[in-house]
Amino acid sequence: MTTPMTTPMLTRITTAWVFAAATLGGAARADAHGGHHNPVAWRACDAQPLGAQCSFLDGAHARHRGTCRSISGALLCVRNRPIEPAEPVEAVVSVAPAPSLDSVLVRLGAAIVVWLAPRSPSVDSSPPVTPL
Amino acid sequence: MPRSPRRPPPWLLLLGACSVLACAASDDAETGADDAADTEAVPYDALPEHFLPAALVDGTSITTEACTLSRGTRSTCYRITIRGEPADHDIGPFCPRNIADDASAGGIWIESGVAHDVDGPFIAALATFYGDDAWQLYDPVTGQINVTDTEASCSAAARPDVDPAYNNYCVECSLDYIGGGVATTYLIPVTPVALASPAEIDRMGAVGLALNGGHFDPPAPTDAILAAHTIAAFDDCGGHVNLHAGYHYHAATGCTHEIAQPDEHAPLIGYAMDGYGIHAMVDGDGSEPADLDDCRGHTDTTRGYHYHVAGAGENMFLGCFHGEQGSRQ
Repeated sequence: MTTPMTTPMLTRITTAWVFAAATLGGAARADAHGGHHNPVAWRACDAQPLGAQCSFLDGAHARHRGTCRSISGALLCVRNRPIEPAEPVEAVVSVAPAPSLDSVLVRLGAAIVVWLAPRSPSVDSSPPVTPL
Repeated sequence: MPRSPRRPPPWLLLLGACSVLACAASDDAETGADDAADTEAVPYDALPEHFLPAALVDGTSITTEACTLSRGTRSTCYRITIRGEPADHDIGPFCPRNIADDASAGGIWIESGVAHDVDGPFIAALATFYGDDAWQLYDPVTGQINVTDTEASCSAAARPDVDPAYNNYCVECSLDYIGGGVATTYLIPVTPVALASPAEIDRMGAVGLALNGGHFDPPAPTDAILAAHTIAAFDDCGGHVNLHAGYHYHAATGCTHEIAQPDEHAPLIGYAMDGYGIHAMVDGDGSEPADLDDCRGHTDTTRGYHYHVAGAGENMFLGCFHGEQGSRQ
């Protein structure tokens, strides 16, 4: 049995393809950190310079905000603000209007690369894939 | 269930505080004297006083000597030779032995900012957890988990290019294989020297040392480990063993020696390579400072500049070094 695609699903898929086509290089860099214990923190800085503001959702959907620092040779989002409690799933996948195309792509970069990553349960619309 | 850093429950803290206050009041009543000299806290900057005596290699003490810091500044450093194994808690367990085992049989695993109990059900569900059917760390008939429980298997599985024979293993090593902790000497600046811009944390470098004689290490390069479908579990204190570095921490979970702060600030748990204090993540009221800089440090009038560690699931302690580093020998 197939499930009809909803508008949000189509939006997400379209966004993913657009972003993937535009940022294959970034995705390749993300794979280079694929084995890290906290891959979402690395991927949050994939399209960012040293010292840039960054944020990501952890495996429990809580928001981490910080700056991109170089640790062990790669940029990592170092949280320096208190962890924000879990966000509603809708807020995770929605994309707020942004003033420029660049900023849209940067935001999509962090969200979509993480979303597409096989190991990360952080931004999927399904419940966190944790057995515990 | 995801793990939270181990903190005493508020009622226990309250009970402890009441007990201390009651004792103090009782003593004062009995002696009728101001016994301030006996109860005065060790000054914050008295680094040698903060380490557990058993953290140091037998027969050594913390001394000072001339040193050159990472950016060439000539300074004075503490010479601290730690045992390389915790003086205040047991090591392990790391890997459970059967998928029916509960959390007491294993340690933790860090993934995507969250620390998870490595119990039997966690091992059984790794294929789902990682979305990869190649994960199969246990015998589906007996439930027995593949664990590197010999020196040879530890050595073969813990190296960067994991021996294919140990794909799908839970990797753990014993300090017994290397005769105990790896004693290491650190030179830590007595007076930290702030940098104009922060210094990055090197994979091969050190982050700092714990007051209990353990090493705080940078994030582990685990690409090859996960690619081979192995996990190198940490114990509940956030540490694990390899044959080169011995026992070392990758996360602070709240079970190492702490120096309580009189103002309910997060306790001191160690020192960074640049000589600044490393504190636990949250203050006594359970809140985390909101004014941390890029390195996860801030300044107050009591302690000056100091760091607060990241959460147990974040696979880091600090974000960078605020000051010039000493060295590890």
